[in-house]
Amino acid sequence: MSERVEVERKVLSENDKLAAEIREGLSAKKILALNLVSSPGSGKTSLLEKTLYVLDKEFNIAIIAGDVQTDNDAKRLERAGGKTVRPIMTGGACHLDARMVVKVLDEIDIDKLDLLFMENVGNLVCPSGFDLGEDMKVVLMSTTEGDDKPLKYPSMFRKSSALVINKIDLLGLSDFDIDKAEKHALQVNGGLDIIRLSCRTGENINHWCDWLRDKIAEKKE
Amino acid sequence: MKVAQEIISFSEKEMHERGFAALTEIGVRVGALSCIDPESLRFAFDVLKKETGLSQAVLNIERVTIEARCISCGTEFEVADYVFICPKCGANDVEVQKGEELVIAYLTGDR
Repeated sequence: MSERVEVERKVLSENDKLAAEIREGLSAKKILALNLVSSPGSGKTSLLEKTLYVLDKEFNIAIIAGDVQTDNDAKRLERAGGKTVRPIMTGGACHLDARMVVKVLDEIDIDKLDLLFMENVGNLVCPSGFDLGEDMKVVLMSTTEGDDKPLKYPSMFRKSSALVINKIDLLGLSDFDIDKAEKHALQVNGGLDIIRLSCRTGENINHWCDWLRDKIAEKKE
Repeated sequence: MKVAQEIISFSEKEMHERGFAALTEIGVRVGALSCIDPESLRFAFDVLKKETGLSQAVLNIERVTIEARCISCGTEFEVADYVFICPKCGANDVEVQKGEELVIAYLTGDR
């Protein structure tokens, strides 16, 4: 005999539950947690290197660096002065998930932290579905990509709170139209804070760092 | 892949707990903002189910379009082409009400 039962179960509810625990734990200590997402090669690791140069003395920063393979990014960030950098090798998975983050957070001393970066695997699709317990997502794109990226990957741009457009030193060398890129991003998400910068030359890195200072201060209120 | 795995492991568990001999259908709702391509999900599900007790189950995917509400003027509208701008007043401050879901809605099985 055939029978139908309604279950109404969120597919990623296990992940969501763990993420909620992470969020609660970090918030109790007033730690700002950011989930950094982008395509491969947009400059997530470069942005974190620059951030460490400027803010490392001001704040206690920890970084979880996710990659499918290698801990190269984590090593780069340690060379840039990162005191608490932990790699996560996902071994094939194209995104971080809450379980991986819990495991790493157990290994680090978060008591004095102000800021936790979770550098996701370079991918604009899957990471948008997996909550890591962050306060907000920051999405990066760069001027060597298409300016229609927000329209191609709307979910990620919709779920992010800020957009960093990197490699502005290369503007003019490709057909990337930065105003159009911003317009597309705002079409998908009118609430995005947008910061244009260059990790290579350092231009506007101060704007990004000011944005971080504001968010850290808000978190501590 | 991960999503298909989650669907299978949850459904298998439910099948045993609810005393079904086999499941014939698994109904899921996939929002346009969930980042899941229904055809890829179906493919992954069909590959993975072979190794499990769900080998006869069919995945029934209902696609959910995005619906939003304008925070400024209250207009409710369907979001086409991912443009989150109120068609009435032009504000871009809108909240999504539908379209983010990724839900196992129902299971159909034989006793």
